[in-house]
Amino acid sequence: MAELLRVEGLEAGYGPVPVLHGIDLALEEGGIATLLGANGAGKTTTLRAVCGMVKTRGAIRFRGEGIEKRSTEDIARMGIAHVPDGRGTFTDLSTEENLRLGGYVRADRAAVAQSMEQMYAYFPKLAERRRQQAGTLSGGEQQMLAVARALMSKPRLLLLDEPSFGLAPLIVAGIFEILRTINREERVAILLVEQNAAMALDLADHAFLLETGRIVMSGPAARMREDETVRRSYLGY
Amino acid sequence: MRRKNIALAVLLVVACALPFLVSNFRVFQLTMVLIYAIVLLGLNMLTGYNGQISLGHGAFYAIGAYTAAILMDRFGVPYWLTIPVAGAVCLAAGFLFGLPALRLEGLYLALATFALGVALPQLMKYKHLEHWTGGVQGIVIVKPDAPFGIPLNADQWLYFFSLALTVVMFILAVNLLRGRIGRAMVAIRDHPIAAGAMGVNVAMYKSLTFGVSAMYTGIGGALGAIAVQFVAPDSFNVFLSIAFLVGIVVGGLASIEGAIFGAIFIQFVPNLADQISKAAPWAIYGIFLIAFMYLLPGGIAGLIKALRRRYDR
Amino acid sequence: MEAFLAQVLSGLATGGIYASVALALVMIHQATHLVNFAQGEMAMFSTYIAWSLIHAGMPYWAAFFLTIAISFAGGVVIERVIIRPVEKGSVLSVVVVFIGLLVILNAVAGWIYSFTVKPFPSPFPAEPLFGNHYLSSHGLGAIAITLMVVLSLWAFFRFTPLGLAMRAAAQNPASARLVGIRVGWMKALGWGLAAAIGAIAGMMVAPIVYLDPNMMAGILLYAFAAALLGGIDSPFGAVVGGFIVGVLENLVGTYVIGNELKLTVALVLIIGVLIVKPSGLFGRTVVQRV
Repeated sequence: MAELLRVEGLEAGYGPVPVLHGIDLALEEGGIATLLGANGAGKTTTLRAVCGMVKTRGAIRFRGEGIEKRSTEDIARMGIAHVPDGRGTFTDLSTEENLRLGGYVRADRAAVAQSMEQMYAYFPKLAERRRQQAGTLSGGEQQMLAVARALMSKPRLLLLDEPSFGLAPLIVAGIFEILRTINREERVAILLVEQNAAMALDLADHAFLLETGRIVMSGPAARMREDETVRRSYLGY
Repeated sequence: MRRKNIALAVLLVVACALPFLVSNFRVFQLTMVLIYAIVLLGLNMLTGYNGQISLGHGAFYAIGAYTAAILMDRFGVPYWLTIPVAGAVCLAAGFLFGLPALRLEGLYLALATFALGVALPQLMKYKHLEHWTGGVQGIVIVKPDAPFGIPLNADQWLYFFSLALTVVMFILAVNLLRGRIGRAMVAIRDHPIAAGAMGVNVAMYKSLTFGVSAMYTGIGGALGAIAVQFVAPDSFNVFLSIAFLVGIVVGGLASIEGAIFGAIFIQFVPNLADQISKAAPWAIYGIFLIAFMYLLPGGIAGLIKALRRRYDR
Repeated sequence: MEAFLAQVLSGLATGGIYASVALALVMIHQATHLVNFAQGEMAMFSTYIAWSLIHAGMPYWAAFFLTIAISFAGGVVIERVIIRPVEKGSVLSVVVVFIGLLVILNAVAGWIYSFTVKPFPSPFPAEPLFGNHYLSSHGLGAIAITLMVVLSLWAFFRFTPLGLAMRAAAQNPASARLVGIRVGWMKALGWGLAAAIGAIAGMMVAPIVYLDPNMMAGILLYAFAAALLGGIDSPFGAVVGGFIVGVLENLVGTYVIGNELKLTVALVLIIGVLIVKPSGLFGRTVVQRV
C-alpha cells in the first residue's frame, strides 16, 4: 500500500507555548489510524498542524508532497478533509448549505449533487432536516453533518477530532459504522483522534499513543489493545 | 538622565530666544505649535495611552475656543481667566461624554466620535444659538497686549504665555503618565479585563481620562482662539479632528515628546505643501497616516528611541 | 396631508441612498468586522469617475455600468493592498488606515477635479411621473434602483455558490478554510461589492446634492446611523434602517427642529443606538466570551 501521510519530527505550538516536541507518524492509503492520549497531550494540535492551522517545524508529506508551508485552504483542496473539534458547523446556514459548502472545491456540479444524495443515504436524519438551520440540529446530527460535509469533498484523507465527544454511545456507534463503510467502499484513509480509546482501537488498524507532545507507543491496533499500560490507563481494565 | 535634563534646558533656552530672532508671523506659527502640542498631549493621553480612539477631538477644541471667545467678547472676561474656565468646561464635557462612551469599544467609539466631529459645525451654526456663537460669521476677539508694560509685542507676549502654559501642562502630564495612573491607563488599554480583575476601577479611569484629555484639548482651543483672534464653525470641522490624529500618529502614540514632533508636523506641513497644490496637504496627511502605520507605528518619537538604543551601545 | 406624503416619499428616495451605503458598510463589517470609514469617499470618487466618462462623451448608462465595474475592481485592490496588511493589527491601526484612505481620496478628488461644485446628470426625466406632486422621477428612479440592487444582492448571496462561500467565510472563517474557501479573496470580493454599491449610491445622490469632494460626508453619517439602527451585521436591517432614517430625517427636519440640525439628529441616533441597543433592530447581540 502506498504511503499517504508521513509526519517527521513535527514540532508545533501556540505562540510561545510548545505542544508537540517532535512527532513521527505515518498512514497508508485507505488505512485507519488512531491517535490516543489524555487531554492536553497534543492530539488536536497534531491534526491542526497537518492542516496548516498552527505554526510548525518538521516535515509533513502528503502523497509525497511537503505541505508544511501550505495554507489551510490549499491543503483542503489537495484532498484532506478535517472535521475539527467542536464540529465547525456553519450554524447560521441550513443543513443542505453546509453540505454544498463541503463540495465547494469540486468543479463537477452533477457529481456534487450525487454526493449529496449519497450523504443523505448514509445519514437519513440529515435528509429529514435538510432545510433546517444547522445550529438547531442535535449534537449527534451536527456531528453527522460535520462528517458528511467533510466527505462531500471526496477526500483521500479524513481527519476526525473527537467525533464521539458529548454523544450517546448508540449514536457514536452509528457514526463509526458509517466510517467503516466509507473507508471500505471509497478507500478514504482516516486519522482519528479519540478519547474513547475502546471504540477507536476497534475501528483502527494502527494506533499511536501521545503523551505530552511525544509519541510514546505505536503499533497495530490489536496489539495496542492487549498492551498492559494501554489497558490500564486508557481502556479502564 | 542628566543628558536628558541638559537637552531640555537647551531646548527651553532656544524656545525663549526664538521670538526675538524671527518675524511676527513666525512667532504666531510657533505659538500655534505650542498650542497643538498641548492638544496632542491631550489626545495622546486618551488614544495612545488609554486606547480610546477619538476622531472627534476637534469638538473639544471648538468648545474651548468658543468658551474663550464668548467670555472675552460677550462678558469682557480677561484672556488669562478664560483659559482655566475653558479647561474646566472641557473637563466636565469630556467626562460627561466619556460616561456613555464607556459602553463603546474601539471601532464603535471611533464611529461615535467621528459622528461628533462631522456634526459639530452644523450645530455651531444653529440659528437659536446664534446669539451666543455668532452663527456662521463667528466671533472676533482681540489679542491681549503684554501686561505691566513689558517690552514685548502682542504676538511675543502670547508666545511666552503659551510657552509657560505648555511647560506646566507637560510637567503635569509627565507626573500623570509616568506614575501609577499612567500604568493603570496603559493596562486598561492592553488588557481591560485583567486590569479590572486586579482592582483597577476601569470605568472611572476611562471617564476621567476622557475628561482630562478634553481639558487639555480645550485649553489648547482657548489659546488657539486668542492666537487666531477668531472663532467660526467651519474652522472646527471633522478635518481638524483628523489633523490631530495625524499629529499623534506622526509624533508618536503613547509618547509625551511625540506631542511636540506632531505639533510641528501639523503646523508646518500644510504651509509647505500648500505651495505645491491646494489638495497636497491632505494627500500628504493621508499618505503619512498609512505609511506610519505600516512602517513607523511608534511615530517619530519611536524612531528616535530606536535610533538612540542602537547608538547607545 | 399632501405635503406630509411628499415628505415621506422623498424621504424614501433619500432613504434608498442611505440604505445602499449602509448596505455597503454592513457587507464589509460582516466579512471583516471592520467599519469602513472611507466608504463615503470611495463612493464620491466613483461618482467623479462617472462624471469624467460622461464628460468624455460616453452615454449615461454605459458610463454607469463601467463605473460600477471600475469601482468593483478598485474595492478589491484597496482591500488586498491597503487593508490586508493591517487587518490583523490593532483597532487603532485599522482606523488610522481607514482615515488615511478617506483623506487621500478626498484630496485626490479635489486635486483632479477641483473643489467647485459640479452638476451631475440624472438618467430619469425631469418631469414627475404622471405630473404627480409627491415624488420626482429621479426620486422614484432612485428607489427603484435601490430595490433592484438589494434584490440582486439577495439573489446572489442566496442562490449562487460564490455567494454561499462569501457568507460562510464571513460567519466562520476557520471552517470556511477547511472546505477550501480562500477567505482572503472572499473579503476582497466583499469590498469590491461594497465599492460597487457605493458607486451606485453616489451616482443616485449627485444629481440632488451636486457633485463636490465633500458630498458624501453627511450621507455617510446617515448611513452609519442606518446601519447601526438596522443592525451592523444585518443587510436586511441596513436597508430597513436606511429607509427609516431617510423618512425620519425629512419629517424631523420639516416638522420638529428645522433643516439645520439634521446632522445632529444623525449623531444623536448613532450614539443612542450604540448605547441603548448596540445590536440594532435586526442584529444579534454578541456575547463577548472572556
